[in-house]
Parts: sequence; C-alpha cells; structure tokens
Amino acid sequence: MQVALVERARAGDEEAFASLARAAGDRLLAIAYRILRDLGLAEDAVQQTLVLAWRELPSLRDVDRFDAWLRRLLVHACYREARRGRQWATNVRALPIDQPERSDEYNAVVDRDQLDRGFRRLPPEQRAVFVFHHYLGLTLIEVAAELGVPLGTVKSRLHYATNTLRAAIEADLRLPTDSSREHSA
Amino acid sequence: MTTNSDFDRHASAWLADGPTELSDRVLDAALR
Repeated sequence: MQVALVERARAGDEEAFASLARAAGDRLLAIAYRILRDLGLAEDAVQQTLVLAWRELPSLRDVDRFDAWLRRLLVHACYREARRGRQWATNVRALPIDQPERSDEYNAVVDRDQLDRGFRRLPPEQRAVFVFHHYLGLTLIEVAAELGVPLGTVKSRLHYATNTLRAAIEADLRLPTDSSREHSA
Repeated sequence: MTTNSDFDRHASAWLADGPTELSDRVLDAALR
C-alpha cells in the first residue's frame, strides 16, 4: 500500500504524497519534538522535511526505505532548527522548593526536570542518537544506518549523551534537602 | 547513584511525554 503511494508520489502525484505526509506527520512531529524540546521548532522541522521530501522524492531509489529516508531528512531539519533556536545552554538552576522529605513522585518530577535541562545542553547530533535509540527503540547498528554515520560515532554520541544526562540527575540528588541542612547546621 | 536500569526507566518515561499529533496548520502549509 505505502510502496504504491510512494511510487505514485515519486512520479509526481500530489494526492499520493499528501496521503503519505498525513500518515507520517504525527510520527515526524513526535521525533522532532523529542530532539528539539520545543514545539514551534519541531513543527518548523516537520514542515521543512515534508517540503524537501516532495522536492527530493524523485531521487529516492529504494521506495521501501521511504520512512527511513524521511526520518533522515527530519533529523537534518532538526539540526538546522536546533542551530537556529540555539537555546540549550543555560546556567539557570532552580533550587528545590522546601520539601521535608523527597517523595518518589517529587523525585520523578525532579528527574524529568534534570533530564530536560541536561538534554538541552547536548548538541543536536547526540540528541538524535539518544532519541532514535531510547524513543524509537532502534539498535545502535540501525541508528547508524538511519543517520548515515559510522557505528563508532553512534556509540560515542550515545555515551556522551548518557553521561551528561546521568550527571544531571546525580547532581540534583546531591543537592541538600532541608533535613540534611538541619543536621549539618 | 542511579543504576543503568533506573536511568533507562527515567529516560523512557521522560521521552514518552510530549506532543504526538501534527496540527493541520503545519500539514497544510507543507502541502501548499
């Protein structure tokens, strides 16, 4: 079904391409948002991807690879948007609000907040690998093939991304709570 | 210290949050 649509779209059928775009749009947005952590930038990246896909579709040789090809276009659009947005680095750090004991729920919120802050500090290339592996569930070999980079590069990017995010969480865990401050006073 | 499985669990839960639906506005603009 999709292969037939891709072949028609590749031959210039606008309706076929619109069907493909509608089917892929939600998935593309989900990936772009998770790389960029900004809805406006993610929407721009998806729009650019679809415009470019229509233009470049005649050059797609293997129609079975349409989804992977589209995701690669999306990742490059995300790189461009990331560099345009450039809003990662921040030295602002929120201190935890008064909290006698840290509940699991509180820790989960803090972890997510720290993951978000840590992630925004990563270069977009590391973000993409992290999202493809942890969100899309691709193996590292599959990530390398999809992104068109060597396996060693994928491993290295994932390693640095993971270390940065783990450090962000662990730095938060080391922040003193009220009770520990009382003990040390 | 977070373990690997703790980290993977947190990362997966965190990545699961977020928009999953592309607005018609964006789709229409791309297909114009």
